Amino acid sequence: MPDALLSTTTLRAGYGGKPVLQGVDLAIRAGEIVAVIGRNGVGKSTLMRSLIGLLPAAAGGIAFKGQAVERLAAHKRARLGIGYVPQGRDVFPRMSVADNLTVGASLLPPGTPFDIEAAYGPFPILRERRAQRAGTLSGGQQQQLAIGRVLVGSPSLILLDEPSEGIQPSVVQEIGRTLVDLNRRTGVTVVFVEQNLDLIRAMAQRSYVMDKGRIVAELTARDLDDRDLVRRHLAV
Amino acid sequence: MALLDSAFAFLYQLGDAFAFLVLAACGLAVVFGMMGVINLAHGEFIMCGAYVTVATTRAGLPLPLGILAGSLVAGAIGMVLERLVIRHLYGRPLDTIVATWGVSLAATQGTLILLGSSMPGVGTPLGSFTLGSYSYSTYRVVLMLAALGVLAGLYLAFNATRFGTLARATIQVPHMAEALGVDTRKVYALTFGIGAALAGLTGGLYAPTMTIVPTMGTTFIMEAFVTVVVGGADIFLGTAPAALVLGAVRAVLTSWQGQLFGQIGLLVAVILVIRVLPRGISGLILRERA
Repeated sequence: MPDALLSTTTLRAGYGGKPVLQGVDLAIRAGEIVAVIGRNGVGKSTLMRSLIGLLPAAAGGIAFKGQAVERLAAHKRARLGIGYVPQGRDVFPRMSVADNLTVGASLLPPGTPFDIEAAYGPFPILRERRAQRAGTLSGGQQQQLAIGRVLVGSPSLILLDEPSEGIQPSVVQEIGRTLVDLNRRTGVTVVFVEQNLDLIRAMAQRSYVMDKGRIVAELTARDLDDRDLVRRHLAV
Repeated sequence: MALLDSAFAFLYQLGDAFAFLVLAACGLAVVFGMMGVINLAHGEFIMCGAYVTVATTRAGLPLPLGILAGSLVAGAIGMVLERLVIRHLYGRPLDTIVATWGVSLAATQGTLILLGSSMPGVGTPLGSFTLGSYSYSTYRVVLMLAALGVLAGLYLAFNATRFGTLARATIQVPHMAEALGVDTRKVYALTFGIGAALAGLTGGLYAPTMTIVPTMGTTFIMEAFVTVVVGGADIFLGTAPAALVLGAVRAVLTSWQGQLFGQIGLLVAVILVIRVLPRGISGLILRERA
C-alpha cells in the first residue's frame, strides 16, 4: 500500500529472546479506523507496544508518514504524531486530571501552544473532574482521560489497546461513538485492539485478525457485519 | 523573662537543626524520591559546592555569588556523572550504591591529593545579635530562611512549571510519559543535576561555618540519609516533616545533654520510625490519602 500512513514489514519483536511477533505485515491508510482482533495472547498488545516503541523491534520495519521509525525511541515516534492509549490506561495516578492532560502536549514539538479543550470537548466529564487526582477516577473516566491526554497533542494516529477492558457497557458505547465522531470530523486515524464484539462493529471499517504473532486474515466492512464470523475469530 | 529567653534559645536551636537537616537532605531526597537512586556521593557534591564557594569568594567574588557558583558547578558535575555512570544503572539500585560510593571515595581522595588536607576558609559573615542572656549568630538565621526558601522553590519547580509536570509524570509512570513524547532520559538527567546543585548550594551555604576539608561531606551524609529514610520518598510530605520532627528531637536532647546525645537521639528516632513506618512519613500520609 504506497499511500499508507502506517505500515509494518515482517515485524518481529518479543520479550527477553522469547519471540511474540513473528513477522507482522500490515498497512493503514490515513483516516481509517482499523481493528486488530484475535484470541488472548496472540500478540495484539505486543504489536501496539512495538508500534509506539516501548518494545524494540527485533527485526523488520515500521514506517510512519513515509519515514522508517523502528529504530526511534518511543518519545520521538510519539512526537511524529502517534498517540498511544495503553491497556489498563496508565494515567498518572497522583496528578490531577488537568495535569495529566497537559503531559499529552509533549506529542507536539516543544514550545508549541496546545489546547486542553481538545480533550474537554469530546469528554466533558474531564472538565468537571479537572482538579481531581486521576487515580481516584472510575475505570471509564480513566479511559476517557487516557484518550483525552493524547487528543491534547493532536495526533494523526491513535493506537488504542483494549479500550473496553473493565468498563461498563454504556461508557464503552459512548467512547466508541466519540471516537467515530472524532474520526469523521478531524480525519484522525485509529488502530485499536479489541475483544468486545459490539465495539468492534461500532467502530471498525475493517479489521486484521492475528494468530500466533502473525496477521492471518483481513476482514472487510462486510465481513464485520457477520457477527458469527467475527465471533469465531475472537473465540478463545 | 528567663522563660522567654530559653524559649527563644530552644526555637533557635530547633530552627538551626531543621535548616541543617533540610539543606543536607533536599538534594538526596530529590534524587531518591524522583528517581529511586541512592546517591552515596551526595556528601561529595556538598564538599564540591563548599570548595568552589570558598575558592571563588577568596578570589574576590561576593559570598552570595560564590555560593551560587558552588551550586552551579556541583549541578554541572552531577549532570556529567549522570551521563557517564548513573544512566547506565537505572533500575539497579544496589549497583548504583556501589558505583556512587566509588565516586565518593575517588572524589574525597582526589581532592586530598590535588588540594591538600585542608583549605583556608572564609569567616562567618553578619556577626551576631544578643537576646536576653544569650548571643546568636545572624548567619544561622539566614540559613534557616535559606532552608525555607529551598523548600518553597522546590515546591514551585515541581508543581508550577512545565518541567515539574513532566518530571512528576515521569516518576509516576515512566514508560507512559515516554510514550507521550516526554524525553525521560533528559528529565532524569536534569533531575539528577538539580539534586547535585542543591547539594552544592548546601555546601556553599555552610562553607563559612565549617572547616574546609576533603571529608567534610561526611558531616552531612548521616543526617541527610536519616532525614530521607524517616521522611520517605516524597520531598514535601516527607523530608520537611521529618526534618522538623528530627530537628526537635535533636534540639531537645542537645540542650539537655549536649551534642553527643543529640546524635544518639537522631539514630534512635530513625530506628523507631523504620520499625513503625517502613515507608517513612510520606508513605503514611500517601496511604491515608489514597
